[in-house]
Amino acid sequence: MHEKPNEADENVQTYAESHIIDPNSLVSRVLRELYDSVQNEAIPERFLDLLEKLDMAENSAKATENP
Amino acid sequence: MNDTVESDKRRFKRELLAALPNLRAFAVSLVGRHDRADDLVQDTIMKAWAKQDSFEIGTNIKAWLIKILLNSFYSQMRKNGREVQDSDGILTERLSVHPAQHGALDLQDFRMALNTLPPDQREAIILVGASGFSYEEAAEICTCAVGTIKSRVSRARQRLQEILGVSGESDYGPDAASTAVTSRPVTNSPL
Repeated sequence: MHEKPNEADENVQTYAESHIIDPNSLVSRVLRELYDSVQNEAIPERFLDLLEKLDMAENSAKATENP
Repeated sequence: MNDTVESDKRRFKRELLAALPNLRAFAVSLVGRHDRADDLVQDTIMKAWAKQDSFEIGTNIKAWLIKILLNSFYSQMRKNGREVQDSDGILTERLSVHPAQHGALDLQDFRMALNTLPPDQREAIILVGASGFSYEEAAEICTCAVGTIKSRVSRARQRLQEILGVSGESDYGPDAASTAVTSRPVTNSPL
């Protein structure tokens, strides 16, 4: 009934993985700091405009298809 | 029926908008420069919009967008040749006389160090270390084996630690040994 030979393997793997990238290491923290600093910026206008234009282009294409 | 299509479109647009800050963060971390990163994001938005029918609502749009962005990134790189590399080691030299002090690192230095990594390593460490993807998800995004991602992340981390002169331990605050080595005066220190 010992059908869980993988369990030990999984534990080993999790341990190894947690040491590939220690979330508290300086490198990890600064990487996240860099990432978050950009992520917290407001979405630039150019992208909002672009989505607006894509939306409008689609709607006007539809209007010509089914007048 | 048309209403469903309509609401799917609206939902797609909403999800796309919500994922944009994350996509930009990924792009800027990967490319190292806001202007080039934003061009890449713009390109990704247009491609994503054009193929929105292939996106399954309810699946991870962040992963889907990053995949599109990476495709553009690598095809641009193939077209333009290699990125500017730190061929003279100037950056590495500058950074080695500017080591991390007391568990703090200058964000700009970190950015430059990140940029010296090969793009596949950069991509891997950002996906796993900052975007919050699992190794399996990252492997899916990069269309490579999980083991490949793991070794890229590990090499990236080691290289960054070398360049920046920091250890891999959970290093809150200075430890005695490294403080002694790094106690030379540093210009531009954030402290």
